[in-house]
Amino acid sequence: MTVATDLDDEQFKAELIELIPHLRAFARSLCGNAAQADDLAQDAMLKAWKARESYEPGTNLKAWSFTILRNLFYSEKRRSWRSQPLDPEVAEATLVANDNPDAAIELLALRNALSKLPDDQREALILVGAGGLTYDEVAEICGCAIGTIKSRVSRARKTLLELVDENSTGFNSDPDLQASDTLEEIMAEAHALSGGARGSG
Amino acid sequence: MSNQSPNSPEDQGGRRQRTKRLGDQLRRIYDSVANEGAPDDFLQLLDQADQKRGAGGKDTGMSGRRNDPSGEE
Repeated sequence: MTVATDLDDEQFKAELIELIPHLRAFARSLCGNAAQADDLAQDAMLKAWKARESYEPGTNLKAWSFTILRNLFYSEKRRSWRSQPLDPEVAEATLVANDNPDAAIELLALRNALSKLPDDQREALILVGAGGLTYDEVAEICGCAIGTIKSRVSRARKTLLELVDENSTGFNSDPDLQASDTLEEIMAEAHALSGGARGSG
Repeated sequence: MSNQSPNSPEDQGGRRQRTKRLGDQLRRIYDSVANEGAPDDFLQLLDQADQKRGAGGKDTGMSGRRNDPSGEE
């Protein structure tokens, strides 16, 4: 009897470990700040572990654990974390990880635009567009209808494309015109970083 | 704002391409975190919680404590 439970627990633990990278990625998309995101992902992981007996083996553990993470995010003060501008560390990492400065700047513009989306739109877009979840699963995670998720995703895409457009035109022609303050700061940093490696573009 | 007309076929094609590009970039952002794997502190926290299970409430015997599916050394 205890042996069976033990096996179940081991199985659950192994599957939960597989999901840790996804919990972190989802948390990062919600919080922006890397340290706070990991904090949230850890809490979600532990909460999922504690609640393992309420999980039905064979059902979707990813959707189940994402629901826990999301509830934690919205139920606590973490919601206000989003209001901060793009984490400079994240910005720096983006720049360092990209050999191609243009691609890096494009990604930064996108990250910046993402941080301006309403929470519900951002999470829907990330989960569907990057997290590999179906509309069905995302509807379950967010506790709303599939149609609602579809419309959030489509609005998010539209807004992002507009924001990215604004930002990139701002850069290429006159940075003072349209780039947001945050992005200007990041660009200053980008300039400093790339200045070390090669001449300014 | 700019000189684009939203209904022209050219614009629609361009939009589709940009939407695809957007999807690629979103995946890159997500994967840049997901590809980092499971950090040690996560695994340690989970192991700690797991050991509480062995030591505390349920009697699962001693063998449970040795099992470490995480592959962590």
